[in-house]
Amino acid sequence: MKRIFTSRNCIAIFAAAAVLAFSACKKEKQGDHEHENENEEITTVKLTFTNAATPAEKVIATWKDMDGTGGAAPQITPINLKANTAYLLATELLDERKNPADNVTEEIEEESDEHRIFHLFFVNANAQVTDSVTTAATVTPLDKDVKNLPVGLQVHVATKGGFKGYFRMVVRHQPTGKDGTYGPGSSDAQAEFPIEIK
Amino acid sequence: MRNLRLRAWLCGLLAFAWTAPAMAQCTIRIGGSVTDSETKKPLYGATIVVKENGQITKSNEKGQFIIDGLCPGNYTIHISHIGCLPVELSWQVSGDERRNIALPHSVTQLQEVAVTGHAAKEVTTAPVESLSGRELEKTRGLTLGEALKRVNGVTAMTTGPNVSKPVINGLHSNRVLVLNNGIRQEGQQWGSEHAPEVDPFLANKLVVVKGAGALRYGGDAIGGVVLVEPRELPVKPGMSGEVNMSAFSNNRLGALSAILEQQVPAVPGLSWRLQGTLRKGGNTRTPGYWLDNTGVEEYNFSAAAGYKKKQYGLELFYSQFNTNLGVFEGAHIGNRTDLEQAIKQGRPLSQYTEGFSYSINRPYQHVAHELFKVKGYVNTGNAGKLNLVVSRQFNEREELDYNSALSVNRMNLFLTTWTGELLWDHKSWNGLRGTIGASGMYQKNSYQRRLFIPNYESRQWGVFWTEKWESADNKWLFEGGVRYDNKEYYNINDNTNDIAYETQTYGSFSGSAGAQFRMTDNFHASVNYARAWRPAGVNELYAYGLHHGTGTFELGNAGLKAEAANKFNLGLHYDLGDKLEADVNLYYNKFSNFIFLQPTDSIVVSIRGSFPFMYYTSADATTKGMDAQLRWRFLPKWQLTTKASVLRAWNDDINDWLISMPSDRFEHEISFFPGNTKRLKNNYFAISMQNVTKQTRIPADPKNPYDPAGQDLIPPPDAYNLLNLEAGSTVHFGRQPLSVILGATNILNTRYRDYMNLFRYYADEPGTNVYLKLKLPLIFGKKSS
Repeated sequence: MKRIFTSRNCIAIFAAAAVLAFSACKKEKQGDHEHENENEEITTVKLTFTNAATPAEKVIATWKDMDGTGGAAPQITPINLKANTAYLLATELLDERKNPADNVTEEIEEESDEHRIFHLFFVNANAQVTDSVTTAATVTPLDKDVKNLPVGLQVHVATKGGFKGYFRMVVRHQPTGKDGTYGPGSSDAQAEFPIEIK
Repeated sequence: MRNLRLRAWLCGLLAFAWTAPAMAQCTIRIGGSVTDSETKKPLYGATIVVKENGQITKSNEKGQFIIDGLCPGNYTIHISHIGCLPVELSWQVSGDERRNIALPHSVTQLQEVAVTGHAAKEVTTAPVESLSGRELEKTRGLTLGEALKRVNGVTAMTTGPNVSKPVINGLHSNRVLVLNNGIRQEGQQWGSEHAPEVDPFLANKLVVVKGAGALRYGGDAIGGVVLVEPRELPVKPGMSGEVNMSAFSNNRLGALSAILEQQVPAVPGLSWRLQGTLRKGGNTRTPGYWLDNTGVEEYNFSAAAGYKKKQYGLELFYSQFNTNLGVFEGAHIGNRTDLEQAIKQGRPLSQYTEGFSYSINRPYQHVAHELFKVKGYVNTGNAGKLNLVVSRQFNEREELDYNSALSVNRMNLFLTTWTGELLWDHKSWNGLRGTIGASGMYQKNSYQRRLFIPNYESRQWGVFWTEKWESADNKWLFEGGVRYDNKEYYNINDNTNDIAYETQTYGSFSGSAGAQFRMTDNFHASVNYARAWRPAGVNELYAYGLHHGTGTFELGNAGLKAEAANKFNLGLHYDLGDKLEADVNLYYNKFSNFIFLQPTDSIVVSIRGSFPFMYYTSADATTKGMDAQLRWRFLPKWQLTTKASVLRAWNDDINDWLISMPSDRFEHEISFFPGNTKRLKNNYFAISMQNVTKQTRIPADPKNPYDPAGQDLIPPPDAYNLLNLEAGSTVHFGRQPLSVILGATNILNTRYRDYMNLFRYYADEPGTNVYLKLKLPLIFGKKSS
């Protein structure tokens, strides 16, 4: 034993260990240079209001932000609805950077028990959720998930009198505790449109 | 290619190091005074023996002694004098230190004197404090950030119960260097919710250098340096070890750490060590509710081997740190509206406060850190010692949000860092001792999925020279040093090639100068000046995107200049050995281009909702304050310890306070030492009170100067007082000692929130936490070879 561990051998062993350890780092975990980049961000929110009485009458509004968070501000079409009218509202979420455009709505449908889409009216822009008003219209969800809780991709909007303000679509992601209310979870997507009802 | 070149260069250096001529020893000096514990008079002619190397010296007529030429290591010092009981103490030496030793009279044996109660003091003009021995044992099981809070003037910036970063006199993150076993920790330290990836069980000593005097570690330590120092590898033949266990009631956290080490008897000079830690905790409980998904699990290990000869030596070290940290769901904020909602509720929704669990679900963070280090030294004749250190670190951080079909819900960051350092310690030349060194670093960062920090590479090099001179009578000490550093960021881009930044280069000098006057053995005064600068950090330059947790959109500023500081320190130290110790450190720091994140009232609209826009900018700033502490044995068995830490931080450009600075805090502790019995030694009981004032010094909102929230979302939380209890003992089972500490923090289960905790928006701080800490030193019987 003793003869193996002479000081010279020791140095050799250390040196060998050092070389091994240092060359080992060649297999750095980020070494593969394909930078994964899941561009799954939604670029577009499309709202289609169909007059319940005259289905040919449609109001389409879009919220579009092609360059993602930051950069140029999103392009938003204002919504103009008739007072005291019933509309069916379909909400679609698209990724238009992909060709053809990726329809993200389907993924919400698949995970409908984890999502809830809200449509809220506000007097001021970027207001707190608690400041939403019910004086502009009554919103009733038409679709249900497996637990019989509303989803909100298809809703019924019954406008009341004249109103000028903001209309907000919020996708709440509620993987735990979905109970039909706004509270649980966090917001996955949110788009706000200027709206006028007259 | 670049790696290859670096490796070739390092190999060359190594070869040079091996062939360099060799003779003589190390350059550390320890000293102190020996007094009679009864009469307090200096003892002339006391014999001081270093048992490991047989060095002997005698104290002079003032009781003073000096031992020169020590290498870093653990030493057993034996002090004896006629008429006194001899004292043996173990001294872990890592730098110049002083210690005043009181020898008990052989005639009065009424009480045993705990010499270890009075720790050695680093000999330097910079304000330095350390935790070792009992003080360190009291922190076992805590994270590094929490452990360092025991040092006066150090607070923690936290994100919930598990993430804690050290804040030295109000400065943190890019401004505080953490040295893990002598290597600059290079993780994603820019993030306020990124704790240092260091296993504190590795340390035998934690040292905090406040201020920027520690030039050898880097010129950019504007806030200070934290040294995590393992003990030196054993030099005495035989195998030994240590097992530490900690258990905490609040989150049912258990920590187990073990060390096994040996000096191989068959091969003089060869020693090794293995160390490992497991930590697992579940949800934390505040007074009133649980915080779901706040569990933590950690598994760390390290291995070290060293071969030491008189003329040269080589040391290898490898360590790994792995953790999974649950992110409290009630603090997982989708956008600004969510955050405002959470604040309005006052307490988290009931589905986030359901109960106890160990399981960690999404959202969570996974962090891994790996360090490999090679250190070699050669004694260079009578002149000194040449050291070469080469290291590689790999840091991986993964932040996983909720599983979601709709968004990019992960961020991965990979950071690889290579460092090399060549140092030459020269021996005393007319009383002058010093170090000349050069260091280099190469770093590469890449990300996957969500963008916040771009891909980049970085190169840094620096050269420095520090000197220290002590007068022959030990009355005066002068220190000084200069350093030049150059840092370059290049190849800065994002994965979709939408963003590419230009190469950015920084270079400048830093320096320090200090003096200490030791008026008597009991009193000394130090002054220290340092100029420090640091290149802007990657987040300050290139951050782009959403900062989850704070619900803000952050934008870096690629045009930022380097941040520079002029720092002044005045320290006064009075010390009557075990009886009394008083310390005051006053500081005044003047910054130019102090870089910070400026909140605005503009909003970034995105598909995730709207986010307040914040950007990095710089301003001239001033911070000043005081750290003071007093330890006083007012009765033979009773001791009072009082600490005070006061800070004022001012933005000179807008003439208002700086945001996110710790408020003033005070701590008082009364300890009772009942004395030793045959089986129970080093016994103590302690009750302590922590008092943290409300931070009233915050910048006002220019649009609404009377808003108590200022530029923040809510006003700072109220002041709070916490009461803690602790008792400890070393139990002896035959020759086997077992150190036991039992205690509880926040015994009144006080509800409070802290200004330095990001969770102040969502939830209360933890309630009562009862803990038990055990330390079992292991000594294995020597085998005859």
